Amino acid sequence: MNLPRPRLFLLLDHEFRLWRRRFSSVADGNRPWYQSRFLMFLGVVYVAAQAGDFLLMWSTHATGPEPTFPQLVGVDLLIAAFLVFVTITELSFVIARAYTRGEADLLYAAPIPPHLIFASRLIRGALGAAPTWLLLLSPVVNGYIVFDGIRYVSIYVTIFLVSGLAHIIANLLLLGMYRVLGPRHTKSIGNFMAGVALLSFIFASQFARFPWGLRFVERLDNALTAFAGNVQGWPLAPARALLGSFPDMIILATLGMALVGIAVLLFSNAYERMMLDCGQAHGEHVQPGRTSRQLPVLGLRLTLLRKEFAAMRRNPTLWVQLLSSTAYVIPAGMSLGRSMFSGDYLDPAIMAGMLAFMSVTTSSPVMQLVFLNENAPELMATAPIPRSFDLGCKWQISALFTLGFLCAPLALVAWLSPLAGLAGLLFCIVGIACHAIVYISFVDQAVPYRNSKKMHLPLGAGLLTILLAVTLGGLAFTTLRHSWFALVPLLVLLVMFGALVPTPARRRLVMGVLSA
Amino acid sequence: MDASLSQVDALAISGLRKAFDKPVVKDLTLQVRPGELYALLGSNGAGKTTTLRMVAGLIAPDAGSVHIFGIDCAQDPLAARAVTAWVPDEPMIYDKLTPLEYMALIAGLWSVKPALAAQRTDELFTTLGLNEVANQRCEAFSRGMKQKVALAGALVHEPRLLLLDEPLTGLDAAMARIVKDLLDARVRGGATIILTTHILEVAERMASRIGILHHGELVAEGTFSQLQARFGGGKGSLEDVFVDLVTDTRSAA
Ligand SMILES: Nc1ncnc2c1ncn2[C@@H]1O[C@H](COP(=O)(O)OP(=O)(O)O)[C@@H](O)[C@H]1O
Ligand SMILES: [Mg+2]
Repeated sequence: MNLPRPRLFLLLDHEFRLWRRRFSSVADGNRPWYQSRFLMFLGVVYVAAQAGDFLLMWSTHATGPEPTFPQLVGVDLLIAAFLVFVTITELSFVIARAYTRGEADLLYAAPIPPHLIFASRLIRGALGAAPTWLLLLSPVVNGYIVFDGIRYVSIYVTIFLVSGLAHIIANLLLLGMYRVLGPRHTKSIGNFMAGVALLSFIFASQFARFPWGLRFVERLDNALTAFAGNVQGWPLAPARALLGSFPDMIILATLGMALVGIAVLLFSNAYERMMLDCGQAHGEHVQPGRTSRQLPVLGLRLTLLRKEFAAMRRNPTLWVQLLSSTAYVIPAGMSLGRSMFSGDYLDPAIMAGMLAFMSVTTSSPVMQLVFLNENAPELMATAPIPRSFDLGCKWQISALFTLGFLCAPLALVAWLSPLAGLAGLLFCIVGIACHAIVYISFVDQAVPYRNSKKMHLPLGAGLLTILLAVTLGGLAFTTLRHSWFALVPLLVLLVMFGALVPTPARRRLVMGVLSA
Repeated sequence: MDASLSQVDALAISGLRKAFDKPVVKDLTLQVRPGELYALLGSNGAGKTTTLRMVAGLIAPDAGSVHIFGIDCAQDPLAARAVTAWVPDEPMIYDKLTPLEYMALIAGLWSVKPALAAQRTDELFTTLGLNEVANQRCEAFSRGMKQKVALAGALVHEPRLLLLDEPLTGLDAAMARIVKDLLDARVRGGATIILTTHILEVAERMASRIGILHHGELVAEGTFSQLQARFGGGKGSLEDVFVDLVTDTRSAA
């Protein structure tokens, strides 16, 4: 064992550099001024939203006594739920990584023992799993830290540790699936299962909103109080860690490291086989047979629409993304459903707002696929059609697809309140249009710079936007309920999308949509 | 009629410049006549791809003009694109489409008549050996296969000017031979082809005229025998000529 140590560091350095580059390019300089302004604007609005969040918490916070056994069990269950949730999302991430073509070839062709490669992947992945969740949960956690004391930094630490654990578990799950299903089916079935698991998870998380669910929670609470277990028992370590117990954080960290160690000891070779196998396993999808004598040549517009539609239909990742973006709307949808049956007063603003939020989260993956993952931008740029025509067709198909996906919720809302349905439809269209404009202005710049890092900018903007939407949406739903004020954050969102400087790209898009 | 009008250049580049961080193409002027197979030869980073991408209209030149069959590309890009095909070195095709669907897409984009497109697709697929995979999605294809699909796509609308960036890399020897023959047949049929390559042998054997690009400048141009006579003292391969030129300019700089 003389050499492995520096080589592990070398590998880790490599993994982290790749990861860092993905993010650093988002903030890279050398952009047109309106893009940097746009990013800065997003950042400022995000900070403002957090400040607003603090103010609201200030008015409602209360420090409680030492946690009781049932409370600790509750926190523990919450952490377990979080673990399951992150594991599901990490699963689709590790699947995508395993199926990146030839990615593993270079590393495994090098004279490095496979366990080092596996270890570096696991460590990088485990450390990289947390930031999204830290960011997403920061509005809540910061509130705790500001009002209840610095010891609640422990929440961040626990989120970090639990996400890391989730990543390791996701890798083990993938290995198991590969063993059972083989390289051909692991991707599709794995992604499908992740989508279904996510949906059922979100459904399950809503059970306490229903009377029978509430009764179950009460009964559980009573049982736990009667049971009065040991507050210091090891199963409650995660809960204690979350609430600030330093030794328990150490236990969680040790557990994570032990899991890495065991996984590396037992599964390094299996991992190597899987990575090499999956990297090559691009299943041969055969479409219904045709011969070149029956070439289905269509007119210009239909040709373009058909191409985009085929790309969407045949992309399982898109479907999983759509399913999971729907998942975020289910809680709101279920409260709507409940109030519908109980005959409560329903605020049309909230319903329209929910639809608008849904249109943003749904159109995002569609637009990303259509505009940014265009496989052959150089072909489109050298075809004898105006660029605006191509962009217009892309807009049309994304809008049609997104609206098609939103059909059912739109119909439901329209049935409850025709006015809200109309407002929702308008919001959806405006939201989709604004979204497209943002994507187009980025993609239009990206085309001349092939393989350029400028392509990453929309991802950064998209991430920030979703953060904002989550923060603002949360604010609206929790505090401004049943009032037209709920529309304010949505308006902010739309203005953010729409009030960008009119660039040639945007003018061209408008022309394209009108002419296409 | 004026002789110069009927003999309008297939491609006329004049005073073309492009700088990224540093100048990449410096004041390039060259003409390619109809029916020529012109090879732009140069080492890695010489600016070949950048030049062709400017001709294809993918990047705007800093200065200079590009005319394709007398059409000013800056004035009327659509007319220029209608008679041009661009095949990049990294084959860019759609993963989720099958080769047949890809051909239908291109035929639709260039408004080729369906019957004509079907007939040409049939011929091209047979020549390039794509019939077995015609209904498979391209995502599982090897690089060489993707390149063949991209080439078939470029030929299905019978462009008058064909721009190929490193067309033979990724193809096996037998297929490279077939592609060479295919390109020769196109040239005989009246098409004009410009290809870039860093492989001397390709330029030597295929091209009717060769331009050697070095640090964004055209350092030599002519038929193979002209180049040989001028620089190689009448003997030796193109490799000698090329190495001579490249080392000369380097030591002069
Ligand atoms: N989009 C770009 N941005 C910055 N530099 C570029 C870009 N494209 C090409 N270059 C630079 O221009 C030079 C010539 O590149 P290229 O034309 O691709 O050379 P060749 O095709 O002859 O190998 C290289 O040094 C390359 O780094
Ligand atoms: Mg090149």
